[in-house]
Amino acid sequence: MPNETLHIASLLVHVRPEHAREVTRWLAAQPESEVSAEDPSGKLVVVVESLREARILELIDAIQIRPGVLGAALVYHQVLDTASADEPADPVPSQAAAEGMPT
Amino acid sequence: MKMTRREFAKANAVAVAAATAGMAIPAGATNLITNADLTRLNWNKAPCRFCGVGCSVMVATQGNRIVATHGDMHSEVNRGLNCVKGYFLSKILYGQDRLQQPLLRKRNGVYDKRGDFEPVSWDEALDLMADKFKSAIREHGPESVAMFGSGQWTIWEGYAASKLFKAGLRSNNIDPNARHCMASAVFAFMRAFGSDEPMGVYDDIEHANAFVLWGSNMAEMHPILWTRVTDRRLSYPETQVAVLSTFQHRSFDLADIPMVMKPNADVVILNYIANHIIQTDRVDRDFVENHTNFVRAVDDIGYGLRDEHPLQQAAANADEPNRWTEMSFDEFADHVADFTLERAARESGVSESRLERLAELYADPDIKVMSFWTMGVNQHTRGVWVNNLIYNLHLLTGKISEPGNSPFSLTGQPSACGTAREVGTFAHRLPADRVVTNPEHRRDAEQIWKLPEGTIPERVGFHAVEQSRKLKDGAIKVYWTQVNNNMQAGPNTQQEILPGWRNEEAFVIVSDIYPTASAQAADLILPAASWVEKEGAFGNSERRTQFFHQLVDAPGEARSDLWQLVEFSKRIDVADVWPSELLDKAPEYRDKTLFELLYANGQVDSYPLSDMEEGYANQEAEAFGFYIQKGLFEEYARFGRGKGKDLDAFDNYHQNRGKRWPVVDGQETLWRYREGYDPYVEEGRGVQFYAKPDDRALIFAVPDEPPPESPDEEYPYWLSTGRVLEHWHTGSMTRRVPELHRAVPAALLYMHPEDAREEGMRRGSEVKVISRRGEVRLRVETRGRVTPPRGLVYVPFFDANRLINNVVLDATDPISKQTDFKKCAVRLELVSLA
Repeated sequence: MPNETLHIASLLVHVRPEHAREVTRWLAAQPESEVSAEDPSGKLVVVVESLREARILELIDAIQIRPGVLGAALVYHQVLDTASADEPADPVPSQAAAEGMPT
Repeated sequence: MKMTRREFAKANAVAVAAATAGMAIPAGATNLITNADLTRLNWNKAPCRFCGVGCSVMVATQGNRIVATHGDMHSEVNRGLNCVKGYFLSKILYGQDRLQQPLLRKRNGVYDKRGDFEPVSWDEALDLMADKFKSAIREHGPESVAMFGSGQWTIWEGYAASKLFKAGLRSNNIDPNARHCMASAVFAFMRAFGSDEPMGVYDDIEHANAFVLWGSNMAEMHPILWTRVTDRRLSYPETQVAVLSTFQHRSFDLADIPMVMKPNADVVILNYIANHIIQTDRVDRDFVENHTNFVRAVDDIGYGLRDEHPLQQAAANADEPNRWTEMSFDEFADHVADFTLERAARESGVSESRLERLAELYADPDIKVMSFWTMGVNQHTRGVWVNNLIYNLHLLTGKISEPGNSPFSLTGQPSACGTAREVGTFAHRLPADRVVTNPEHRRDAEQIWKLPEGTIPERVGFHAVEQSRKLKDGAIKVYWTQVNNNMQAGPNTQQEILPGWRNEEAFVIVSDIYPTASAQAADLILPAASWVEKEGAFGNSERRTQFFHQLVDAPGEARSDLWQLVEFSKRIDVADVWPSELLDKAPEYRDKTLFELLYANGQVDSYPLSDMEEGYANQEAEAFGFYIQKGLFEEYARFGRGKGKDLDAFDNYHQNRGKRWPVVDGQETLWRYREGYDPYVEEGRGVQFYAKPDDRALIFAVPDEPPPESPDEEYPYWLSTGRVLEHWHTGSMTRRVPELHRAVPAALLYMHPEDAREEGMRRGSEVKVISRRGEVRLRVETRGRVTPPRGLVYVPFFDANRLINNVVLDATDPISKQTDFKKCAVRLELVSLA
């Protein structure tokens, strides 16, 4: 079986505060995504987990056209091998540390 | 607690996003850990190679391939964020049709303009080029050769090209595609302040409480900066955002003061705001008296069309449009008094109440206001004027050169500032704001370049649109383009551009990474290296210079533009291209090649390979035997040091996330012309526009003049053109990323549903868009994110199969020579209803 990849990405979504609840509710109902953090000023952190990379783009497009949404920007993207995704993570230094930068 | 790789990745994703937005990090996500596979990748920083914002991205390589990118958390510009284009940076280099060897049109084994492309060696390609250049210059003079370059050139590529042309070949016929993009901004900066580029920085965003978008769609074109504006607006609810455009677009979602105006009405609106500031007695008298002069610009300046065009013939000041005369404040007040609120509302179609709210953002002394603009202002037959009119508002109120008060001209290319503008690759420019028409400036350049006096020609070379015309007219015999796609991006393609390229007498060379519309119209195609396939440097919109290392090798025989330029120079002797009088002044160059004259000149070649940072390849340095990028940069940097354009030492830029010039004693400058921020301002002066002889900026009185072409009975619609988020410019890179191509595969005609109904069309109908110059077939879109008002249609230009520039008029701003891609008249014809 060819190696399947698992894509994990996070988005920063800006939304007019009066629409935040509605957008959060809509996001919660979307497959493969979850709202992981919220700020009352209208900022949401959304994590996407999907076997298809295109899903990330599709979700961004879908978010962008929700009423009250001002923008959705990609922040993080990681590709995992599905075969080993549920193995224990190695306690290795973070990516930021690996880049030689303060975390 | 033991986490799985999946859980770690998700925790990491959340933590990074939250940190980016200044949000509290949710519990459980604070422990930044990622998996071993990812940390085995080799990570390096590089500035994005798309727009002018200059986001820094982290680039992961494995073997000789880029495998991932993410926003650089340590960048002050994007703070870890990435837009959709930046996200797919890792894929732009790997299109199936990447050019990997030189291709020459041949028949029966020899070059033939009507032949088909055949692979040739670099030697054959460059030898033929050298022959063509030499014979053209010998028979027709140096004005018969020309180059069209780019704001996507790295700093040293632009510098090497400019030096090759202006000093080596002695032709000023070199111009960047930034002519289509930033030329109006450049001229206005020089007119008002005597020095190019913004006084402010992106940090202004976090200090401002009002933002005004003059014809810019930042939400789609500069999404990361827009995220910062959005963040400011949401975090400080008293912040106001005004968005003005000729059609409604994504940036309107954030607008507190949305305004759709009639094309060309910006001149009237801006003059009205100046009038409002004066009438309501909110002029900052102290600032105006101490730091400004008022001048009246010459009017009736024409439209940059061919000289024989009736509109040019009729214009009184078409020959010398960039002049002005002094005037008093009272005379200026009289001039703008005609621009009343009632008139501005009538002529723009924007309501009086909104215009007044807009005017108050500038007039109210308690509001810190940041103005943003790009192509809506610059690609305008009165683009220089409109730039100046925006500065007028900031100068009248003293809202300039301090945190939050900032007229900010955005750029569209990664190094429009760093290369096209600062290096001076325009047909009239030399490095660091010098111009070829100034004898002292030429002498400065000749001294730094160790050339005899009189080497650099005085005459301004052919600008972008003029190059197309001169090719068609047969005056240009050899034409070389690098990192641009003018066959698609230039105006009036069928009438003015293609005939010149296919002119029997012309030899056209295109350097690119993909077979673009331009490459296919050329005679010789040179395969180029791109982005991190070479060591490079870009300069962004806020004066930030950023470096990147070569991280992977270019495929096949592809070579960087720098290598191409320098390798070409080895094939031309100084004596081939210089007249004997000039050689007599410098007999030591008589037996030298242009390579020895320009690059192995004892300066550029003075940095050995051992100066290079360990662990990085450098194709060009290895090929030429010295650290050529450092040599070119250090020679170039001499032009700006002590002139307000100081750059840092070369090596520092590889370590930091860029610095904003002037960099003096290692310190960057955030707000120019302001004491306490800018080391060039003399003590006790407060504000000093020191690039002007009397330290004063100019406030310009300009009238309202009509556009060259407006809708009429025969051609009843305005056409405006531009970009979409997913694609960059002509799409030569983004259209090769399947995800981006799928998202927006073809250019559409955006129009108002009522107009469509009246024309008997509907969403999805195929229609012809016809102008006096040409036509193109497109499908109608009546929904979506661009919503034109009645009477205006919008078409993006990324689609090589639907060349909207066949339709666009090649009128330019007469001062900046920048094309107006934003307004011409068209009619629509139904092909099939669908």
